[in-house]
Amino acid sequence: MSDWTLWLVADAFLLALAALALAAAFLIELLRGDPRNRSPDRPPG
Amino acid sequence: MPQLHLTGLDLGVILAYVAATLLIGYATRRVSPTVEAYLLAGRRLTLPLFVGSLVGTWYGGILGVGEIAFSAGLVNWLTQGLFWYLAYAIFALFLARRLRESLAVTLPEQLDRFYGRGAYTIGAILNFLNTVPVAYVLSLGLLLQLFFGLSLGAGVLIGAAIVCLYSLRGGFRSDVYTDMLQLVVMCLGVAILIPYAVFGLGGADYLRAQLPARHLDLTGGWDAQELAVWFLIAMTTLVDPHFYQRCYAARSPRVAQLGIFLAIGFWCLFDVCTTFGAIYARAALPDAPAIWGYPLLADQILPSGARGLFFAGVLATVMSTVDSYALVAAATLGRDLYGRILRPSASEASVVRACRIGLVVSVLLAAGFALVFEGSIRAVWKSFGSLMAASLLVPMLAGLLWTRSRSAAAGLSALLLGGGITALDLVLESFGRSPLPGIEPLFVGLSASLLGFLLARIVTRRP
Repeated sequence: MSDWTLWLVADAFLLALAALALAAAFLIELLRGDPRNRSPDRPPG
Repeated sequence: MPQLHLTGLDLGVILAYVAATLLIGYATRRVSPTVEAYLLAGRRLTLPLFVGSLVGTWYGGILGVGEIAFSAGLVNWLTQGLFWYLAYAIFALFLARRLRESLAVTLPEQLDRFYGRGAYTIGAILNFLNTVPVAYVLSLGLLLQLFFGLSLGAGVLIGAAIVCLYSLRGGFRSDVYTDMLQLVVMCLGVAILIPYAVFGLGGADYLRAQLPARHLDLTGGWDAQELAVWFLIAMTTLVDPHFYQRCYAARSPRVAQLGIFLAIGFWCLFDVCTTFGAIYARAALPDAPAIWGYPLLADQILPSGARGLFFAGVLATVMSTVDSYALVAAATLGRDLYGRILRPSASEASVVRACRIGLVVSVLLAAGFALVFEGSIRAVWKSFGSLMAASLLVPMLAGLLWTRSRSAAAGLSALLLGGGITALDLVLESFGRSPLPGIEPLFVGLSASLLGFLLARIVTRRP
């Protein structure tokens, strides 16, 4: 099936991948405890 | 109301998503002691959080988008996609950095800085009316009714209660953290339908054979004026309070600017999925009601589990918008109207408390309006949007980009004329007595706003 609708499948795949990548970046940031990501009302350390 | 064929597994996926959202809300429940912490998460949004929150919040009208694509086809991607990407890009290029550098907290506060207290008060009232999430709370109620067979009233109230539960104490921090989960669920949900549609129903030949002639035309046979209306509507992004709030909350001006460009990539991929999902729905279920065609296709072609993910995605799309709207409405009530206009001497703690009360008030107000105006909610929604855009677009852009133009008289004239003329035209139009039939009230109000601004600017200009 060599028609343009295959690009739709690629688009959907990319969307899913991009969302997971963004969530992974966020989780890594959270786990590393980036101080810039901390809430200001939490005492340092 | 259509009947879905949700299995125990589907309902389990939906409930797991709701439970995870509540859990994140619980984990981020700590009450923030300062206004900046409660409303802007301390201005520390990093790039992933900024993008996740903006993408999740902005995309709330998935049922409406599905309806337009089902009825009109690919032109939906032009009017609900491409035009908006241009507006986002303009925002990123010209406004995002300036807003972050301004260190303001809310959009109406920006009016205070440009034009003084009068413009601030009017802007705050308009902003509140525009951000009470009536249409989205109604969508939430409809979805819960669809999934669990509740009455609409119960669906609306339970939906409103869930949103309050996870966002009330933590404020913006809970909002952006839950947005991240909601973004993932909504992207996976809309993406999963596409391969099932393409491989299960057929490719391009199938679509050409089943669809009306203009459904795959980019302009859909719409005339230039109609397209121009949509283009202008897309430009209302330039005064959208959610964009402003996230730019104020970004860790740096660069995060705000780059984040919007990354978000455009997400929206682009997402819009292709929703548009073609609904186009496939039109091809496969031509007799379905336009608003339900897209969900009904998912109900029919997805297997158990994937179906639950799709509907959890639709729910996440709506919930991520309700909470953000309610928070902006709460900020307007608690910070602008109470903390700076009515009680300028109020302490930080009492302003945060007022914001939390404002959040409950705005969600309850939205639930009440949703139930009372159930039939005509889209019209009410569009009217508030037009009112907001017609009154704010000119003074806000002039204040940000043409700094020499700032004068209280010009700002007030633009706000009052834009809002007043739009409101008048909307009322006359509803009685079929508009003096300019066929011209959108938004255009009329916007022209009046621009004219009022320029005239007042000329009259009050110092020699």
